[in-house]
Amino acid sequence: MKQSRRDFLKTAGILGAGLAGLAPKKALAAPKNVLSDDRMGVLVDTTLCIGCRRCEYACKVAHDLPSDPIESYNDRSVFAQKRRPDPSALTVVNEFENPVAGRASINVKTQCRHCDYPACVSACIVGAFSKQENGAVIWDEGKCIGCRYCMVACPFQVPTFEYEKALQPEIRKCDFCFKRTGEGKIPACVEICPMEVMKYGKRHELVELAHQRIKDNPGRYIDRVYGEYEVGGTSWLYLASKEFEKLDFPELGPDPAPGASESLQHAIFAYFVPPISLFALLGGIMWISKRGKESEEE
Amino acid sequence: MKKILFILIIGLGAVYAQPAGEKHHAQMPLDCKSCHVCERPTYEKPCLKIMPEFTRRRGITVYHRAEDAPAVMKIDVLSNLYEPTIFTHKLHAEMADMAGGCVSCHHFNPPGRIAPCRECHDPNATGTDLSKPGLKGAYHRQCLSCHREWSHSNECSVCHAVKGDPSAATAAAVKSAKQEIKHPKITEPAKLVYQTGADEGAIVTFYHDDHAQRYGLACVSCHQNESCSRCHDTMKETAAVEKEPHDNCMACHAEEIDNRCELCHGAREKPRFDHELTGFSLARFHSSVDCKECHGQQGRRRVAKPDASCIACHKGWNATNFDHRITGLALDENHIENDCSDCHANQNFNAPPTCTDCHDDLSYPKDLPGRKVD
Ligand code: SF4
Ligand code: SF4
Ligand code: SF4
Repeated sequence: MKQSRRDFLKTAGILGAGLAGLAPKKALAAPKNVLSDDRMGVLVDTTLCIGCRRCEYACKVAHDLPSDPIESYNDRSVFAQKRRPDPSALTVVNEFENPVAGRASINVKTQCRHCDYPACVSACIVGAFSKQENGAVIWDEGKCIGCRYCMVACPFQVPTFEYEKALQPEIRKCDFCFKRTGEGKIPACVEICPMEVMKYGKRHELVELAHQRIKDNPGRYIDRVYGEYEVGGTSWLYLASKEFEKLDFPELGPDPAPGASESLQHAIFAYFVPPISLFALLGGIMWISKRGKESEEE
Repeated sequence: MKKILFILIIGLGAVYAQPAGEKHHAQMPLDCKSCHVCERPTYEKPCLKIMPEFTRRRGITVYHRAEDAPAVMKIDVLSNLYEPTIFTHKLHAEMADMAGGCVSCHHFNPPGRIAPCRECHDPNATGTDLSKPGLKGAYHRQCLSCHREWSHSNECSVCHAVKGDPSAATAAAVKSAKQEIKHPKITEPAKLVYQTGADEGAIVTFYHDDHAQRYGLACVSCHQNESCSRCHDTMKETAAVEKEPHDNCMACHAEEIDNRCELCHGAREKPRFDHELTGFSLARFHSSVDCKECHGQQGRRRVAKPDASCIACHKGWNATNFDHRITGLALDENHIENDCSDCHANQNFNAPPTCTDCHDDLSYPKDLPGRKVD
């Protein structure tokens, strides 16, 4: 099911790419990708997470998304299905059975990993995505043309669109609390977590901390820090008590993912001659409706 | 809405009665660098190493019995938001006795006294201190690691009653009343018979009482990673079965596990170990002697075969300080001042005494150098 939708979106992305070539805000600037040595990150220790979902709540509050009252997050029946972040919830917690009989289940919080070499940044042909100096990969609503390239490119299936809106959808994903951290605060989910599952700090220090924890508690963790090398490294790092693949983490190599999407993109521009009249029409509608929305907001 | 955010953030303060007059650990013969990374640690900036293992292993130098632990603690730092939380400390200490003891919570303790949590775990931590959790994380980790396993719930309200909640007063009263409730004594099984999947000798008999009492193993020697939920689990009727039963026996019986399966495995239940079978009866004089008195201690195992001659242990006895009556024979006046070796040739007390050195016509036990007593 999911796969076929993604396949569809891939096609949609190709169409979108054609559109972008004509859109007035075509990315002339190369995507910004700053890799500061002091970039921040978060270490998520899944062995500590109790699945209270307070992080889901705090994230919504911090991003002015509608949320049910906090008590409603005690409901564990949501764990019956595996969930993915979506425009209404930028982070979600899933639950997995513990292989050790009688021990509590394993909960894993997921959200954008803020890749060091973000596929979404490379894939975005209008430069709406950027990797910031503090490690955050953020998205500029004003530039996005809704092509959904990022969605196809992301190895963690993070960016999602508002499906209900066909023509002016907004893509939403965890922004590493870019606004809050700019004000000197820590990410909302990190702050609220009662178990202090997450540590917010410089990525290189977190990598060190993660290995120290593994060394000090060899029985507690498997010897791997997920995100240290995957797709070239991510700002969000994970520790776990059992193999990451069993916790729905994709098996990824150490090479940055964007390569694949870049060649796709380049191939399109090199060999693909779009039926110009159709795209011009579609692009026009998109552009107008976007403008319209922006002026409404103003 | 945002208000509720704060409600979730707890900061707890607890006062732990300290034994007076303990030295500060800085005055103890310790290397500061074992725990601190900087030259001059202060309470504000302790610059602790990430999880200093030293303190977990050797740091705690004061031990209390669970019965001596403070009964309840009132945790009320966030009293502007919450009704105080009543923590039934003694009850928990008794439960901890069945696993790691005090150390399971009071870990990484500086030597000399038991420090309250907040001395290391900052109540105002912001989540950026990489070396340790703040007080919020420290408390929640301690409580929830067990509580969520047996109740399968993380309901905040179990501990946190929102300020002014009328039911809170009753809840606190109930908890205070609980302070005298003791954890029921765990009844220790005498013997456990396991039906294993082994092809040959499927039945393994384990004499639990011998191991716990006679061989002097502490509960935690085997029950190392027990969790409360092994017994207390609202969703389970029976305790989890050990996955790898050999693991527990390995520390002492590695050799048998590798080479002598029949020591434990049999077609039927095995009898209890009887020292008589070794050729040295424990009856009468040695039954109450601790194994290691004779066998010494090799690691955790105590089966080194000792020198079975009496003088190997009983050195320095002579006619004046040994009361021969306890052997069952009260020496008569002709013999009481003899040297031991006059009768017990070559100091061999295991063999019958010789009479012929002095008496041509007498022999033991036909003739006795005294009279029998009980
Ligand atoms: S708030 Fe913390 S403990 Fe609760 S679900 Fe999120 S990460 Fe897990
Ligand atoms: S996880 Fe996906 S959305 Fe997030 S930075 Fe990486 S590629 Fe982009
Ligand atoms: S970092 Fe911010 S945006 Fe990302 S999941 Fe946490 S609260 Fe949400």
